[in-house]
Amino acid sequence: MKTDSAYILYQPLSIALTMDMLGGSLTQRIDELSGDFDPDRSVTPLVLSPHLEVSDPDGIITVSDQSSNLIDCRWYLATDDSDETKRITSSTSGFTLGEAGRLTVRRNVEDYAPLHLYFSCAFIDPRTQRIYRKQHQLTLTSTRSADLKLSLELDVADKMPISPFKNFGQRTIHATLRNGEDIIPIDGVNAFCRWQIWDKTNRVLNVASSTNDIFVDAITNDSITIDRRYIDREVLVCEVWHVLNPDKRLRKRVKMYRWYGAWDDRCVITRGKFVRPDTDEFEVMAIVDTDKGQVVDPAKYFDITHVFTTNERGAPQTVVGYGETVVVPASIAGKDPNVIPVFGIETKERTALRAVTIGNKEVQIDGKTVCIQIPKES
Amino acid sequence: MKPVKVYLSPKSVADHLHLTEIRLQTPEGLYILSSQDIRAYGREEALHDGAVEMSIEECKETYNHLIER
Repeated sequence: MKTDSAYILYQPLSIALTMDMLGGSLTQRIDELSGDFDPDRSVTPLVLSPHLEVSDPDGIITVSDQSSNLIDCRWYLATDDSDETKRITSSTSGFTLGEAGRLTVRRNVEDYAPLHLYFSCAFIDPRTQRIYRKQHQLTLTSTRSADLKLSLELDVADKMPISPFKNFGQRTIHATLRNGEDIIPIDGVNAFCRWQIWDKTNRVLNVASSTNDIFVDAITNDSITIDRRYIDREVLVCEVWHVLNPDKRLRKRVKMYRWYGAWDDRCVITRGKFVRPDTDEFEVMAIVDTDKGQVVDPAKYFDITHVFTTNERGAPQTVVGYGETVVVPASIAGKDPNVIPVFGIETKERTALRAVTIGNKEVQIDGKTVCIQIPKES
Repeated sequence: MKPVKVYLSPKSVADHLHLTEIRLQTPEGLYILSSQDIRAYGREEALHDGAVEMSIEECKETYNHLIER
């Protein structure tokens, strides 16, 4: 018998394996501040789902998605399948194997240790029973970044008028650094603070120091204590930066100035207003009024000079005393009833306490700096 | 509050994102979604639809028994 054979031929399949990522991506972010992973795969895992796309030129395999028909699915913690000890099994922590090669990743990846994953699978061509093998390799990584939305607060207004009538003594100014709503401690570890004082003469900012600046009593990591008695006009600058972003400096400026407010002075003859032959002295009192009332003990805050003169043309003005009250003999007015004695005062604000210097060196007594207040020229 | 957050979301939100199969469900019937998950839906919309923001730390403390190691 003579025979002849026929051959059943199929065109080869076109097969593509891709990896679907559900609930995340290959990269995580590690928050520098909290150390948290975003997303945290232990809470919201990443699911890797192989997707096999088959194209049959002969049109026999009509369904192109053959993912559910994958067989011999293996995952490795490696870049290849050469080491069976690196194969992911049901006992590998942080991973769960599912149907059709699906892998649930619950492991977070540190930025210094990227995690390589290798997937291998097979597909049997239902037409020919030929086995196709496919592989896929991917790497899970992390990046560190800080989500900084920094803001700086001082517990003082931008302008700080210092009334000589009150506010005496120390005042501590605190700096608060926030990232969003969270307070970042300014502790020299997480964040740093530098207090600076504007040098009017050289027009530069100098770092504040309790040794060099007379009005600075103490400086801590996040605060400065000032003594308001020594401040005439100063500009204090607080500069803060986060350890993770030292280039970004946050600054707040506080203008501090001695401020008397509105005031008016007058003098009153409290004794000797009417001079009779038996009147032996005048008593003149200086009174200073502010919008809050009469100043008690005005000589404490003002430099008051008492002057005597008369109504005569060209009469000299004679200084007869200083302070709130002066007492002068009545003889100063003379005996002529046509010559009217006139008393007056000159009231000047005082500067803040200033160090007494000789040859640019502070004068000290028993280790303490000698200070004075100087009348201000209006 | 910590900057990294998760969202306890109602089923409708998780359904919309096709994440009900792969996300943990709390005994209250809420799904724990990441901030990346919620981004596709819109954070404001999710909060409006009943999602609740929670820090990772709080979530782990509350639902530690659900989290597989």
